[in-house]
Amino acid sequence: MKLVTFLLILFLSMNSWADPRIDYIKKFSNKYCSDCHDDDLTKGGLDLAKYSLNLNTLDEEKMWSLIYDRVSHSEMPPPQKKKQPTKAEKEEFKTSLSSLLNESVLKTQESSGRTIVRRITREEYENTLRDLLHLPDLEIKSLLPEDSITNGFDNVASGQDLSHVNIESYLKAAEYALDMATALGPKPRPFKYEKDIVTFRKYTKKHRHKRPKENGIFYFTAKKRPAVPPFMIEGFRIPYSGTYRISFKAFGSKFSYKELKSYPADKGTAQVATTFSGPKGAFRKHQSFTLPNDKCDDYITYLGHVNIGDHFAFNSSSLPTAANKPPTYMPQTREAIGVKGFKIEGPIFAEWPPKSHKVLYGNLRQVQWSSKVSKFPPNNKLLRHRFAKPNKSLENTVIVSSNPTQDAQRLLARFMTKAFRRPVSTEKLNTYMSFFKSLSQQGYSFQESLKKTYMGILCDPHFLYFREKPGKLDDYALASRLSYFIWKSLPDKELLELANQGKLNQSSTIKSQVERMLQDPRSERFVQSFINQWLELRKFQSSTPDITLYPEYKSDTWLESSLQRETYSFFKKLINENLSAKNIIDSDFIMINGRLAKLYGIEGIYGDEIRPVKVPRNLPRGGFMTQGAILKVTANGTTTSPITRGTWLAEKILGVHIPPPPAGVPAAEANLASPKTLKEQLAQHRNNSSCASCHVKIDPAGFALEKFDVMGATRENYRVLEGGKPVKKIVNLVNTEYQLGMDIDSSGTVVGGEKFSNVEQFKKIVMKDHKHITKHFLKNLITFATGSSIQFADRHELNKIVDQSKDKDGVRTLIHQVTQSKLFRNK
Amino acid sequence: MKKQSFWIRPKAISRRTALKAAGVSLALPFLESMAASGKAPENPDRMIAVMCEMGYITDYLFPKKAGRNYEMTDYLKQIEDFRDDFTIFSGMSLTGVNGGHDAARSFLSGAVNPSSSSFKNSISLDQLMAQKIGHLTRFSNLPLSLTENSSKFSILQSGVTLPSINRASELYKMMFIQGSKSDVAKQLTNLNHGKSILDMVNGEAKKFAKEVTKNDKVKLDQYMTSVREAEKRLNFKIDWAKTPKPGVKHKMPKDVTDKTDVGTKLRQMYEMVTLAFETDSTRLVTIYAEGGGFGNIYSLKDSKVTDGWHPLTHMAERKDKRPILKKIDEDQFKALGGFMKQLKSKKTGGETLLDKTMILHSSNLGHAGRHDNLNLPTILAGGKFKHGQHLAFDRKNNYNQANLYLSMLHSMGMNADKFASSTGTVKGLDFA
Repeated sequence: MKLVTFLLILFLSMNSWADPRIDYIKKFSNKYCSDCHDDDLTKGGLDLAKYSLNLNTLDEEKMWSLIYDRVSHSEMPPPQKKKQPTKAEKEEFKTSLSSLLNESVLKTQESSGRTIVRRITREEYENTLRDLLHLPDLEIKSLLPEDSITNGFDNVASGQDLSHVNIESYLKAAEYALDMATALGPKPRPFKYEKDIVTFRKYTKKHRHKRPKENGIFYFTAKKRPAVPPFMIEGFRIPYSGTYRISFKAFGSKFSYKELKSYPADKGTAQVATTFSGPKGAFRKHQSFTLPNDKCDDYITYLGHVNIGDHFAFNSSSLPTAANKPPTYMPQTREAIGVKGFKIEGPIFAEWPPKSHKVLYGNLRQVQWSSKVSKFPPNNKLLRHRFAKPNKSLENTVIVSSNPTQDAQRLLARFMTKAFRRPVSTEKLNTYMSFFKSLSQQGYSFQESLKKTYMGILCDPHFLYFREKPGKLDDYALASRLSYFIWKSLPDKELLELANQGKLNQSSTIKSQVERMLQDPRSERFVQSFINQWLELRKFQSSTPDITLYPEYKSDTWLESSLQRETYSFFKKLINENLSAKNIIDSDFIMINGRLAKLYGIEGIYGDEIRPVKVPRNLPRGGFMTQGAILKVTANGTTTSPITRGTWLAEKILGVHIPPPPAGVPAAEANLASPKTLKEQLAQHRNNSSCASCHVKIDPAGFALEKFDVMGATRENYRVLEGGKPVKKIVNLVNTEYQLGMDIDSSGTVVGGEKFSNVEQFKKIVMKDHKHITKHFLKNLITFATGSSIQFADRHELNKIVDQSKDKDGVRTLIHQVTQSKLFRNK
Repeated sequence: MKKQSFWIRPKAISRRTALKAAGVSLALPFLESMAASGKAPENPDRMIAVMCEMGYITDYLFPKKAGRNYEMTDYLKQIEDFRDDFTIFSGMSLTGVNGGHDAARSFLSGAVNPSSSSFKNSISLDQLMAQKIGHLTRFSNLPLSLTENSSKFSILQSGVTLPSINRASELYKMMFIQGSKSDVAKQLTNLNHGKSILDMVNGEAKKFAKEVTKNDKVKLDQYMTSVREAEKRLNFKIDWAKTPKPGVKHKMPKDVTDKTDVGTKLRQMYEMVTLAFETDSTRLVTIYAEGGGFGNIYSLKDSKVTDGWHPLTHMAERKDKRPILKKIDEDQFKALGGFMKQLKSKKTGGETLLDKTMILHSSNLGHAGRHDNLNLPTILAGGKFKHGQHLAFDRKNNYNQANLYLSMLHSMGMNADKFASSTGTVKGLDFA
């Protein structure tokens, strides 16, 4: 046997030696590459000898694809080297390598598919359980370990880890979710709290200063004292978790502290309020509202999820917050929000028991447990989650069935079909039925036995993994691929129905389904998840603006949420109106609200609602790269770095590969103490040839964004702490001081020699190659949609989509093209 | 029964003897069998790694003089009483680990390029040690943090980051509160049910694995291995659930509710760790010393702090802000001093807890103000090493901190040749 293996290996290796393509590639690389890339001098960390041309591993394939790109872009061998391949040599090298790569990748794709069996991510797990159990507010993500990220995305199968910690967490999360879904006992009595005059605790006992009230209306103004919003509304306690109808009366106004008297609001303004609920210190945002001016006769009403014991709070988002420092400038009469009434009613149940319960236990009877019901008493841990005071009777309640086998079989079959996203075999159902029976026989109640069976289903690999076979996806696999792409969750009834009829796998059906799915509110999950990953908006909260340098951004939660919404809404508009992918680089509109208008310096836009606004002349906005959220994500709160921003632009938007920085080189950081520009420092390493090979690609893009500060506002000077020109002004009613450092130069030269002097010109240069940018966007979209990064052999299909889209490069069209493509419809 | 030592170990659990040389390449299955044999040592080897998220102003930390006669610096003064029990290192960093804050993930694993979009983490030092000694205690290891629910740098072989415990009261309950009989019975039922569930889904995975391609099978094998591992952990939990928890005099701590009171939270965790070590509840701990979000303040008892901890680090070069950041740094070193004092005051068999406990105290960042990952502020205290010196390496061309991890691994009796990017054990750091 061993001999046979040996001979086989010998034969195979001889065979590959005999391949003229491999011979040629070796000859070429020996001649032009190995001077620098051998085991002796591994420039750029590359030792060619390490990467065989057998292309057996993903690493080998990736590395040779990269070599292919660098040679075809004439980046390698470096242009300054004397020894250069002739055109014919280069062509033959490219042809040999690409045919070799294509052959190898296609072979693997044929036998195993592009995608390796993919596990649902923790985000998908949460969404799936929310939809499966009809619990739209279920919070379960934090119970699962973080997913690792490959090529920017958390659903790339090849990089997904799994350990016993995940398995233990799945058990825990499943049990928690099932407990939350179960509703024991009678329908909770509705709770109602209503108050005309709202008393806010912060102003009642602890603070002695005058209460800003008039005629039973409470006025919020700029905070006189350091206090962190939101303000809690007290006087009631939420008895049960659930959906509540929350109403309040509030309006924009002006208020004089001295006279304790209100004045009409300034014309054209609109104040914004945000509501929260949650335990103290961990408030969850509910919703923001643009308030009417001067009066409010009708309640502003919305439905929100409130948990048992939650507090409710109100934040006057648009008013300045003078946190940490008392206001030094207080106009007598200032902007205010008047609040006159508050009402909370609920929980609202469309039916009882709620849907979540019926999914699991149908309409089965509940009784008080006695040893006649089952040997073991119920273990109703859920009472702690859902109800205020677990009483003895509730704790002793148990769900029973007079036909346990029949009922369990009916309920399990239904649940399993949904959870496994395809019809369930009798064998599989029997496995779970016998599990259920064995627990019942041991003396556990019907409810307990069934619950544990459900837990098994939610830990089953058929639930956690996507079942796909090499070649064309079957209808059910396609249904899941579509739904986890656009909804990040399970296929719904219609998709499964179409799959059942064998109709889904038709181009026209896919098209109409994608249309339907994009119109469904669940597609918001795609928008957010894709943007969070592709453009790294998930890192939005990881830095906080330095309050000394940027006092105007202190604790501005309205600004923060608006920035994120801008980027999501922008992408949503590209999809909804099928706008050209060129808008990724630059657009003639931006999506803003009152707060962003203030940040960007646009007048006459008020309120909270994000809306499209035409970009005024000479305003350097439009496209993703000049959006505040992006500029914040690429800064650290104190300073900005052209390297960070340049790398981000190259990798996310421009589609330029940047290798990781070499070891042991300290990061160049702006020095706040001395206003020497970073640009000069960077010039130094662009003159060093080994640094230059990457930095010529990184730095210029970064320079183009130099005139944007850490939150995305424009600037002409850096803000510094020493050695600059002092600036004193009143910001948010507080006297603040910082210094203005050197003038900013946002000019640069792109690879290829074109010069630009500002971001608008930079965008114009980039726009010339918009096709490449569309292609890069598609690469990201396909990775996200299929759970596999783009491989060498996929380039052909990818180019086909780009070519087809020529002038029809609408983002919605592109999404359709992707879902119609082989890449999407095959494993 | 022999004289009861303060190590409350009602049950001897041992491990298969196949444990020869433990190394990075050797993946040790957890708990093969637990046939009772042998007795655990009275005062066993332990390790705790503390990583401060924000770096320090290292100008106040690193002494100028190298060797044993180095001068005390402002930060080291806080732990001066234990001069002979620790070594201060300068000019050391983890080779290939960069990316500012992202480096935290690689702090104990040494995995390179943590900010890369395709970063793959590898096993951390504590988890590698847990493969050898984790089965000997109720908790194989305790990943702790102050507010987050991620341990950040406690990494399993598969690359998964362990979740952490961030409330002292929860930790106390886990270790010392013995539930009622019926609670224990319910817990056992749940654990046993968990096992049956895993047994069933493992069977389903086997069937699934039969119908997939070779490449897919690798993933399903990973699933099945994880399930089996989880089953073993459940068995382990079942055994321990039947074993009464140790009692301690220390009362249940009250959780700090003030988000800014980072110092007290850190001290509380240290107290709990002392109790954990004292009762041999675990021998491996990591503390992610973080400030609860990048805007949060680290408040001090004797000074008013108005800037968030993270913004302050970026202002480390500012004359007006530097003193307050220095105080915050010193507060953490004071807390460390308190912890060392506790460990040193407990003695058994002629040796103190500190003598057998390695304390690694460092950060993912070097100099706080620069947010780089060079010249890490590393201190190693306790354990079997000959301390009392300043090991000064090249500040421009750093020595690899992974070598220190290899030394620590050897000290734990795991004689691997290599850990992460290590090139050998630390020269100049000898066993006492």
